[in-house]
Amino acid sequence: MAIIVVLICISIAVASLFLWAFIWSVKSGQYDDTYTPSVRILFEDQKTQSTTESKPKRKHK
Amino acid sequence: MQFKTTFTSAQVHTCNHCGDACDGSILNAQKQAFCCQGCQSVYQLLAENNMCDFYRMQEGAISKPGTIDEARFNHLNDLDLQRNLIDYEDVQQYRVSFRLPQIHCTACVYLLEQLYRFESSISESKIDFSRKEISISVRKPGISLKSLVIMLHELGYGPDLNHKLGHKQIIDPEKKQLIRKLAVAGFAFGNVMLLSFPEYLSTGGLDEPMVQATIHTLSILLSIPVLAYSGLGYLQSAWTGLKKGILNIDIPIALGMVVLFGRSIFEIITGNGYGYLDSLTGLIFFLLLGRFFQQKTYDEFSFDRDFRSFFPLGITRQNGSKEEEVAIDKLEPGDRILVRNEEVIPADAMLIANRSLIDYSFVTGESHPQERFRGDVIYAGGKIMGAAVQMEVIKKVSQGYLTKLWNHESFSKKHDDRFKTITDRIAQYFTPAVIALAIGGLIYWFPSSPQTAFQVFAAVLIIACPCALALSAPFTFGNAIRILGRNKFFVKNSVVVDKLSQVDEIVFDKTGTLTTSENNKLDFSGISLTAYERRLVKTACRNSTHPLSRQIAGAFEEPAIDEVQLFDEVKGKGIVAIIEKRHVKVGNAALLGLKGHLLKTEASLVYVEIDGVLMGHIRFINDYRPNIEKSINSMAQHYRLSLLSGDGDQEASVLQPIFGEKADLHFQQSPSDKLDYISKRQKAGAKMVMMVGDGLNDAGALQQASIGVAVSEQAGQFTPASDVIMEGQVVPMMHQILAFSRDSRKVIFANLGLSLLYNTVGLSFALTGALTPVVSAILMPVSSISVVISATVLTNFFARKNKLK
Repeated sequence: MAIIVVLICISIAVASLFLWAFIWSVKSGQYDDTYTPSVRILFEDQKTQSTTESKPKRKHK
Repeated sequence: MQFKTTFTSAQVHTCNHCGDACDGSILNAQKQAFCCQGCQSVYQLLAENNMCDFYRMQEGAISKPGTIDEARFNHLNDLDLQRNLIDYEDVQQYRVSFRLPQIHCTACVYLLEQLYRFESSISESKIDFSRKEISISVRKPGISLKSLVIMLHELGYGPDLNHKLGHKQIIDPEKKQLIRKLAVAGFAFGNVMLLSFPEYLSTGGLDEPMVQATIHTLSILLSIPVLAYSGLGYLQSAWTGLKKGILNIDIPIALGMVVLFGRSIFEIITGNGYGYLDSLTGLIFFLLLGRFFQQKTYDEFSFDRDFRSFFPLGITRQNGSKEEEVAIDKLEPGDRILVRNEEVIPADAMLIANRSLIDYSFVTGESHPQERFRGDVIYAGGKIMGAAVQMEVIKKVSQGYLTKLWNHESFSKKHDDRFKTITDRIAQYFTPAVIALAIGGLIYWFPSSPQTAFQVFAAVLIIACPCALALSAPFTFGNAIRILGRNKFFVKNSVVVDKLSQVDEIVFDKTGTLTTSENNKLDFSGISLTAYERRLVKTACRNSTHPLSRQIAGAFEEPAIDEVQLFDEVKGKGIVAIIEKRHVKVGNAALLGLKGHLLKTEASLVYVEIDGVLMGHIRFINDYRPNIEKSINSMAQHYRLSLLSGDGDQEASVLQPIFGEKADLHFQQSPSDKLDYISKRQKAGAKMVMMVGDGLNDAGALQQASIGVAVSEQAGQFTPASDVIMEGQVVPMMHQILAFSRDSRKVIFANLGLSLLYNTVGLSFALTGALTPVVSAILMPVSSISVVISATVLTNFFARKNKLK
């Protein structure tokens, strides 16, 4: 039954990982704007015919 | 004479871009109609770039592209100004952010994030919808700042440059920290609850001491950061309160937290029990959650007490024959400046041009524009009307008249430090009562069983923890703020809602508050005028200072003619003018010498005569807001009302019956008069004075009052400093809004009752020594959640009852 101790420790370790990931995501600014990304997913990507300028990288931030 | 009550000709076409009616004169290659060149250009731009999806996505009206006078933006070439606006710059790029108040739907986001298609040097443009901000990155050498702003104007999204100055994002670090605290608390709460499970189930499966020890150790380890980091705010606030001798609501909370923690540690270490760590972490988690929701609501509204957000950013300075754009704080006495139509005069100056018309309605409340002549001193804050005028600066911006008003001692004193929120006032009674009960329980049990005594002491403090109480006010007011915001009544924070519910006196301004300042409809009956004839009438009216003339000039959209050969305004009668050799008369019947059947009997009719021929007459529709009498009558029953107006008293006899005999009506009030009146009322014992006014003119009074409500015709266009901003069209709904705020007090008390009920139940458990961890763990979240739900449900109910949205 003592195995449960090991299991508990492992689960807490994993959970801490998630906590750290969350805090990092807040620090990196992903929670600064919680509304606009929900609007952005509705846009369709346009196939650009104009090849004169290279399409700048502005993907999902 | 044919009589047609027409003002605009019949519409056949609608603009393909903005949807406005148009006469089909502007067409593109595909024969699609547009109302103006601007709309056509935007449509062209979108079509060329395959962005007609924009029209598919749009909800509501499309912002019309503005008419651009490029020179207006010259000041953006000033390097100092640029430095203020630019967020980041290096050799390869620069990044700038603007506030675009016209953003209102997904199509706006779509269009604005595709700016790189219109201008290849733009590498990225990103929108923050809730803050209505755009952040644009430009590769160097690329489009200049000025051209960028012009481009935005042309698209219909002119940036609000006044807003940006001096307002860096202060909100973010606090919000981020709150989220982090919440994350830690939530993480710990979940895990500790899970770890507590075995104890609740107590089926005896976990007898092994090592397992128990591990669980306990982990629980303690998880709880420490919650108390020390997430709960730190409460501990600090309680400590500050104690040092000052004030019993605020955070003291019982902090006390409860410390006792919970202490007792849990004690029980665990001595092996007496399992502690209350799950209740502790849960308590802190829910408290922070409540605060997070409040913060979310506040984020939507930004308020500055910075008067400079009203003044124009830059002005044209003339250096001999050269003209340059400068930031207004660079102006020195002696500088010559050129102020254009609709521009605000930034500093006290002396007029150099021969004559000028200045609109001081924001400063004096006087709706008649003032005439000034060469050599007159012109005070800052007025708006120039008509041709651009030259003037010489007398005082630096920081010393102008408006600044003096703004620096009146009433502004610098910290507003209402002494105002106790309802929660604080209850805490004053609650805290001593709880402590008394705890000590009472201690004393009662001590003789028979010391152990039980301490148990009871701690239990009372824990269960009587006013988390429900602490949540009641924020959630009630938070929801109230949201509801009020939906009704276009934007409140700064929940303290203001609390104050609203306790108003006892209301002071109204007249111009722009009870009356609308938008141009009203005019009703013209007579021979339909040609476009040129309309220009004549407009030109004649434009030079006049009479309010009726101004309304006519504003309603006629044709451009005025600059050269006027003769202009004569006859007091009480009207205007006689000769414009481009045509004789124009605009005035009342007496001026035109009308008699007999042509004479109408209504008072405010203006007749129009061109070259001796009577063209018709214009009837003015009353400009008071609809239903305002009903609203004021209803408010007069609950509050003492006053009216302070900058205008003359010609309407006193109309207004007095509406306001009631007891109300105070004063006219010819200057901004300082209004401020003094409010101080006088406050000294005379008025506890909560609310001032409803419009513009910079009332700024001082708005600050002096306990609640300052600023009325604006278009939210987002003009944002003075105040506690509340309301849209002009909802002024007649004020009685409903105030009734609602009174009702929200009832909601708070109801929730108080609810939380007291929980406390009583819990206390009965605690005092009899029967409080087990399970009970406290259940009671606390249950009481908190039920208070939150009841607060939300009840405020929504009262909103509907008061016919708010």
